[in-house]
Amino acid sequence: MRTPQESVTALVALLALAAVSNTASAQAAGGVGQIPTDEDAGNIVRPPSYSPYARRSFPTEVYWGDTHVHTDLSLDAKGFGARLGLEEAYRFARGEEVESNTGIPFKLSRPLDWIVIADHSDGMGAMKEIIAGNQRLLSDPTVRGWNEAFRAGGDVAFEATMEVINAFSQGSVPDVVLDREFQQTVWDDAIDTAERYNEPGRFTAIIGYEWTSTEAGNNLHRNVLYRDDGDVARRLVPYTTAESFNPEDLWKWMENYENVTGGKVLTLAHNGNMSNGIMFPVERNPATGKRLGKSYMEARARWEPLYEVTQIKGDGEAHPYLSPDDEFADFETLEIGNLNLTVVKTKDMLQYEYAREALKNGLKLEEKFGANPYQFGMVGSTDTHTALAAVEEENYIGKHAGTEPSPERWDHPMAKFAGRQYDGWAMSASGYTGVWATENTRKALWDAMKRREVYATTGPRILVRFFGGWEYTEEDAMSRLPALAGYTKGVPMGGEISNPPAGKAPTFLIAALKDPLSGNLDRAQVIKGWVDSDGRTHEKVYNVVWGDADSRQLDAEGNLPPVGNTVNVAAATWRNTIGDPELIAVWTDPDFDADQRAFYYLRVLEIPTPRWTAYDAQRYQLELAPEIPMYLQERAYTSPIWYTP
Amino acid sequence: MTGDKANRTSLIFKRSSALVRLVATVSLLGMTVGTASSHPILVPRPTQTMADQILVSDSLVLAREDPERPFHYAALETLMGDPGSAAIDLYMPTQVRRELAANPELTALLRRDRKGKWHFLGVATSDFMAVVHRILHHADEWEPNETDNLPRLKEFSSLLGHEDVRLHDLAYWEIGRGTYASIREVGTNVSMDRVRKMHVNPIFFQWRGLDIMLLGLSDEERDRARVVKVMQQKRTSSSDLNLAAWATAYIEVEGPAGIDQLSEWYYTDSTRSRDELRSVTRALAGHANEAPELREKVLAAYNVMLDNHPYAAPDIAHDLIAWQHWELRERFQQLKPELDPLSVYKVDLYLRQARAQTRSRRP
Repeated sequence: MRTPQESVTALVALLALAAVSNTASAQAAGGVGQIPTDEDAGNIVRPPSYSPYARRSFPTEVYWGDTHVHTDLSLDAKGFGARLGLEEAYRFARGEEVESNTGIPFKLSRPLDWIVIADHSDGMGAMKEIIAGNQRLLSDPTVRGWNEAFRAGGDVAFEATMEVINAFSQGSVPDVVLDREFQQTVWDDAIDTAERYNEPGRFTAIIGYEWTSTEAGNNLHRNVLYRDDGDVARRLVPYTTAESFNPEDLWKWMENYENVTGGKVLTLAHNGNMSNGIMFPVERNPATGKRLGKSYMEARARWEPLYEVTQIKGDGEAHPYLSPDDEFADFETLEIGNLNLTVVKTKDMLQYEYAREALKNGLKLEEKFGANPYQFGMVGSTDTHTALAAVEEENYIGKHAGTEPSPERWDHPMAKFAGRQYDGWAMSASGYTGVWATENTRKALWDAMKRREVYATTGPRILVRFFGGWEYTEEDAMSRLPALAGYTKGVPMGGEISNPPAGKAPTFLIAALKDPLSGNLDRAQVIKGWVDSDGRTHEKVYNVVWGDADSRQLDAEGNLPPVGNTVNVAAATWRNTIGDPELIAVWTDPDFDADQRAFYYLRVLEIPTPRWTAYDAQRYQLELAPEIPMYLQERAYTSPIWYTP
Repeated sequence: MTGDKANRTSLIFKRSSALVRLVATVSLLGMTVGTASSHPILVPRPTQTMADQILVSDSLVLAREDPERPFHYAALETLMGDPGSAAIDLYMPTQVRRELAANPELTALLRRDRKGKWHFLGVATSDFMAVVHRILHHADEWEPNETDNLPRLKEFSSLLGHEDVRLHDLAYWEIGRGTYASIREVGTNVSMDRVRKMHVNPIFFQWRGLDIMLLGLSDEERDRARVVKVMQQKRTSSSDLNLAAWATAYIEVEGPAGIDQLSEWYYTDSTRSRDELRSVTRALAGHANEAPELREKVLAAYNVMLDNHPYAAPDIAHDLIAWQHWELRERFQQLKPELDPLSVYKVDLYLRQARAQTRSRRP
């Protein structure tokens, strides 16, 4: 699909992005996951070597992975027909071919570097063990009845499956299933498997789980990620909603875990579009009804450095209602109601669900409380319940076993209630996380996540650098070694800047390189949010650098003509004859006010390419309704850089 | 037992007293669904159907989004009320906006509630609007949230299994909240293929009450065999999930012998949970409400239950009042000291009625 010239350009750019330098990174010099600030930037230069690759200690590689995969250990995954477990999930992520839950041979285009298997902690492994006839569980007569039903198969097995799920939802499962010893055996098995597949330097199995707070159908899920190896992580069983629905209690559990074990954990908030207005509260904790105070702000800032901005259940960066001037805000939007659709969405909920709005509200909260609970980095994940982390558009596995590739899956609802439903075609083949880390190990990846040097993509592996500081110049972008300047003069994505030199506005070094297997790049945009002296928040999208620059110019309002569209929907293909393979620039904020708190993040757009629905239509010879999108502009979202006066 | 369905259905509506009909108006879906759940794939039942929403509306219009003002709508046709001429400020989900944008011939059906707030009801396809017009046609005869209006339920029966999921769901909830008698009346012409498909979709598993009862009404042996097989499984798993519906279907399939069997499985077993007992009691009551000839057998079963589960006395008090059966008066009196205050209140209700009835019969 690429021309030879494009390949050469891509290689050059790749080398530039994996920049050579003799500097040491702020994070390397600091503590675990320490957030880099511009004060660090001047202190990280080390004596140069002849070899440009020697003595580098800052991140030079992006490690690709998925923070959110479910296997047959998850109650709902198993209920929906998953038969693939931890082993298959790891083997698949490492690049092996695996037969899917419905018997389809599946393989990633390229291996992932790491993965977090984040099965639901509530009922983890219960269904699987009941079916398998775990002797400890069979001591209970109810469990024995279920096991007999599973062995009988057919209708009664289905009924038993539903009964197990129902029992968990109603809190009526037999005690033996909630028994700590049973939970520990499941957790131990999960950890043992992770240990077997964890190969430092080659493939990382980050230990994790999902805490599944879904009170009244509103999604407040969190994924807990461990920095630790199994010997430490296994010392406490995961926290469940049987103990609490309140995220504050989860954070207390995390603190206790660290105190008890000496380990380290962080959590990332689930995509908030199905929280119905409670993922990013500003006044009251929805779980308790209590007014939010400084302790909430500080705890959230401490424990939740990341946000899942995109996944199969929709994209959560921005919403067209909240950002009417952003022509790209309506991307894979999915917001009919809460998770189970029992409560429809209302417009007042939106502002507490989307990343950009939360980032803006965070600035206000920081002014009021001195702590910003929404100072998070961006990650993308699949949230697949198939055990297979496959979300490239032409290789989309689906949300769960019932939506693996088939001629009917476009019409298979994810959830429905009283005449409204999340249509199968509205699911998004998204996303992955890129981590700028010093090596592919649990500790290095976790540290990068903690300091927010991560970014989300909706599937493609676009390479993106984003640095902020006060001294970047055009020469830095032209040097072909942007990372050297990036780390020397400022902070990477996730960092913080302050203390502007008199009369100076912040400068940003921006570099993006296309995924060799995906579309060219349309443009790179800086999204700025700020709070003014009256306490009002604002946002602005700046087109900074774009492809086909010889034929496209900004108009007086800063708008850019569309890049065009080469997608052949019927054939489910496209041509890279528009856009550019790489985009590099230095940008200076033209509207900077040194007295205003602000954040800046980068959004990189690809040219239009076929959506998974187009591949399904082409492969299954389907004729889909006109409202079903058949192409899209994939994208990357970097973690922001914050400016504090 | 299915052979005399029509006769029995007419019996209950011709002969039963208003009180019996009131008691018989049990939300059969409601009794199959537990408390509001926290699990993402478990959902409670809706409290209003689309027909209810239309009936309580102030205005109803067909509208399209103003291309110059996103999230603002212009009414193109008024179906009910006076919506005024101002643009309608309404947030609508992206999926719907995309569908309207891609299909210029389509409009959105919007309703304004009596507090002046606008709501989206659906994209106005022809089948959808035909149903809306039928609802409007009956607006003077129908009450919001009513569950005992057989002509209304009949109006929706043909929509069960409709390919437009909105219409199927509308019919499902309209019929599903009716009495078992009305379900038997309108549910016999439903496509069993659709019922079977719904039945095995885990998304709907808490909502399957109606489907399960329709399986029991099926003339096909495989459906009836499924009911018997699953009921036997539920007996061993001690789950109350959809148990009332399964037990109702089981009696439908097995006839009066099914009552004896359920009594043996549940009422004689002192380890059964209160929720299981309630579910089985509702199934027995549903049939006995409809078929008075079954009441003696059900009362015998109730006696067995009281032998083993005396605390369940209040669960049958309403049935006994409705059926005017006062023979358990002394037994209830003896049980009172063992009951909690709420249960005592329910039992006292029965005892007061029994005393009043006994007095009125004295010469």
